[in-house]
Amino acid sequence: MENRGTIQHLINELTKLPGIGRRTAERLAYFILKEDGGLGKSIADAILDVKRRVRFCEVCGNMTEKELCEICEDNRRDRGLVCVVEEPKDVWALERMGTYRGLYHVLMGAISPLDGIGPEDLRIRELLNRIEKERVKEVIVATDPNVEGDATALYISKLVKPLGVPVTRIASGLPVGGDLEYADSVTLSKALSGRRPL
Amino acid sequence: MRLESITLSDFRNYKRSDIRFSGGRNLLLGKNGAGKSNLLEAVYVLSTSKSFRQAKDSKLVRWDTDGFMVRGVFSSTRGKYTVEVACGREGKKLFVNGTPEERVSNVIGYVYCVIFYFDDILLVKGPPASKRSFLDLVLSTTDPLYFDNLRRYLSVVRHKAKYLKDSTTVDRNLLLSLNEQLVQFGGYLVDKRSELVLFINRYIQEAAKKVYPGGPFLELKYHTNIAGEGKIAGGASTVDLFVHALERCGRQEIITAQCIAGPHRDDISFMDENHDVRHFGSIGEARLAAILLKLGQASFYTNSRGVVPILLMDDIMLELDMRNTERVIRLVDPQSQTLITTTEKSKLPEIFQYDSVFTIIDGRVN
Repeated sequence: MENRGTIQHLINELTKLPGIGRRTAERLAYFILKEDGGLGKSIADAILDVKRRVRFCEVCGNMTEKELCEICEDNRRDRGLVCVVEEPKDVWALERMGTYRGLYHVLMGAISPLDGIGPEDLRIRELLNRIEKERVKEVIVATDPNVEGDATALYISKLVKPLGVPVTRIASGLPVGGDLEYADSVTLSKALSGRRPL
Repeated sequence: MRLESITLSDFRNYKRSDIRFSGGRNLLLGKNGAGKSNLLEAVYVLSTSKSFRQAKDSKLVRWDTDGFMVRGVFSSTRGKYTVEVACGREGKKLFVNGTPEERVSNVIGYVYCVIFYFDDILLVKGPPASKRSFLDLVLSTTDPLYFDNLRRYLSVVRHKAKYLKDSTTVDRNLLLSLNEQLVQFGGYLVDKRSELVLFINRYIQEAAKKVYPGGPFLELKYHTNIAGEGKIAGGASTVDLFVHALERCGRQEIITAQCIAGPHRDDISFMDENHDVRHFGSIGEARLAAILLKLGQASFYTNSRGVVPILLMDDIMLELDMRNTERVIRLVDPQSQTLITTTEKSKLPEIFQYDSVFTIIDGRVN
């Protein structure tokens, strides 16, 4: 019975993770229990390690093991360009592209009243402070192209424009390299209405 | 377009049925509860993946079975193709020409049909919400952007209502941002809805000229509160009107913590020489208005998508007298395939010529 309590504790903790339901949590817990190559310990160590060493950059909010992230520290970067994203993982996605040479600003979410998230819960004030202190020449808003991301983008533009800094929004449309015939009709209609002269 | 044949398996009271239809008028005869409406429902499922009777999928399954299957063979200007909707324990699946589709919602656009049934009376006498869902259904099946805008618009409305309810002080910039989104998505809805109502109204006027010399003079009207009074005034753009309406209602919205201005409060009404049929019309007149609305929907599909939809008429002559029934039948596009149910042949006027008769008894078709 005591053993059951211990494994139950692990299952309960695992269900608190996003995307993990009861069934998956049970599977993971029993797997960890049965596995005897030291996986349990190495997962636990990795988690502790992350919690102990990784934190968020004091300037941009990106993940780092130091005070500043490597992007903010890099002097070759264009410091006049700030790209605003929702999550640290969005920074990774943009960095994989390899051609963007500016800095980032991670909001840690998007405005979503239905989830109780307002502007004060995001790192918007930090963004405004940055714009006032550093010589920012353009703010690129790269929040997700959904209702919440769009609302956040509009909100930011309303606060940043009065400071005299231009605000731009990333474009949306057809994926490059994709076949036209496989695009869904909404994307296709939007791409058509957003066409440009050649 | 035309439904050539349909196969039902464990659908409602049908165990297994294969039915071939004529291209013209098909009469489905049967007693109450024989399964006439269920057959129309099966065709409708192939068009929208859902029942027109707002029934859950589990209600469409035959008693004591785990799932149903409906497959139709259609022909149109695209040629011949099959659409199949299968529902089992793992949910609903859609197959077009035998190939599985990623999403069941992809069914939109393959089969155009218009259902005429008892609850249509709500489109005349019912609450505004029923009327908005009618407009939304017609526009969503013909315009994917409409559906996308509708989804986003309703989401912003919910966000804004929650924000107004939860916050003690209002952040003006946030409210302006949400309003900007409402105008962007909602403006599209208003434009499309007003175009659709205009189209159907024109259809009704022409229909009246054809079969109603001397009246009744029914008129379909679109009401949106962003226009202030009545319909959209000529000149001012929808965006301008919407922006002004949001400014006008701003204070009230904050006090009542509700979203007031916008197409989520739209309505349509039938006027019979300045009388609202909703309040003053007889049941017969309301039924007639509802049928005209549905015939207008069919005409809209033909006009915007270039398809003549299949007409599914479920015992619609209920409240109409013989003269009006005859008029309705004369209005049906002769090119359209019709599936019409009735309990007795004598309930249909003599001018109704049919190509095939099917007798339905307890979920079996002869």
